[in-house]
Amino acid sequence: MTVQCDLCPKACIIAPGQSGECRIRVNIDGRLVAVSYGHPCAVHLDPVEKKPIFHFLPGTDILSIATVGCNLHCLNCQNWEISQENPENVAAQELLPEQLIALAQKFGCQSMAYTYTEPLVFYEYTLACSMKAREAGLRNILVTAGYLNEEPLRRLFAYVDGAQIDIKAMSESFYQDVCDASLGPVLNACVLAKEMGLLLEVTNLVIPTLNDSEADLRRLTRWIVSHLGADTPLHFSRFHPQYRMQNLPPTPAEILQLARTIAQEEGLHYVYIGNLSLPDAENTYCPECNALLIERRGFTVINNNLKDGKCFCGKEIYGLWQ
Amino acid sequence: MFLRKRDLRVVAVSRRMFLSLSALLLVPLRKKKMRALSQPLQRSDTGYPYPGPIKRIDEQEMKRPSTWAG
Repeated sequence: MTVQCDLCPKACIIAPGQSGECRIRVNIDGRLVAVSYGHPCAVHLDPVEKKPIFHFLPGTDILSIATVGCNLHCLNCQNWEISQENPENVAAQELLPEQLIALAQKFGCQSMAYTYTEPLVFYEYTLACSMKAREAGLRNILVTAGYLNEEPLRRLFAYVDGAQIDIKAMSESFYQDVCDASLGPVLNACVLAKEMGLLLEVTNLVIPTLNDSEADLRRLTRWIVSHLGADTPLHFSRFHPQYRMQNLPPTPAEILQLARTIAQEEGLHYVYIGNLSLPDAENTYCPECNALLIERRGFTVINNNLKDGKCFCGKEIYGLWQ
Repeated sequence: MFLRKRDLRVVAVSRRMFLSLSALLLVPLRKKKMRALSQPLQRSDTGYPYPGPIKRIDEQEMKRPSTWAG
């Protein structure tokens, strides 16, 4: 019997023996099975700054996991060896949620990250691990493209503390041509995360000629200011030629600096540049008195001057600090 | 025998009409056979095996930061 998956907006109709576009939701004898459940292909202890998440327990290590699969097919995917591959071809470890949380505790982690590929398509595993982590007093972070239907997203967000959502461009045609997806559900996911009280940070990978015009950058930052608030941290990330997009050069540093200037002009308080070493580009400053609050180099926190989440001047800084 | 341009147009329109009508007829039949599932079964509940190779748990490797992005 053919089944239809109603997890993400793609609404795949799946014939027996076949999988949805994400490659891991399979029709087995008329039953939809999440075949990567309990089988992460990547489990690593990363600095939380690597996600990148800058306003969440800075300087801590986070146990980060992924299974194979993704519902987007970005031409520039950085992790395509695991996101765009069938589970048959990717080795995985057998780790049920309770075993994973026990490992996180053993490593002394305060939080878990569901990342690398697309945690929303290994949904059942992400949800079960998040619930177990909550019970154990750990926090949960999603690093995601945010392409999911509202109902399952609400169910998952109830157990999640923070999200790093990738807004790839403020253009429907970009989403269709480069990612094989659409923009609307991603923006809805950002608004929902904010509404449900998650700590939200946004990333935008700036790709030369595709989403790097001043108009593109202003549209993105204006939307963030008006719909998510000026306190939402925004990370502009440098593009490197990858996967099926080898024809474009890496993003010039000047474009990333221009993007940062535009975002600050539009009113965003915390704007960072990633994948590129530039002085000051990863530091957090107080939006009130401009004092240097958190100094970072690469994924390392050099100095953290925050006291109870506040600046010297008393300004409360957006984030989850303890 | 060669078809004239006007005849070709008629063929094209008839073909489109046929396809639209067949789609209209077939969609309800197809839907009847389909089941929408919001919560897939989980491997731990059902015993469906992971289809790929299994690697051993290596805690030393886990302690090293990943080379994957994110």
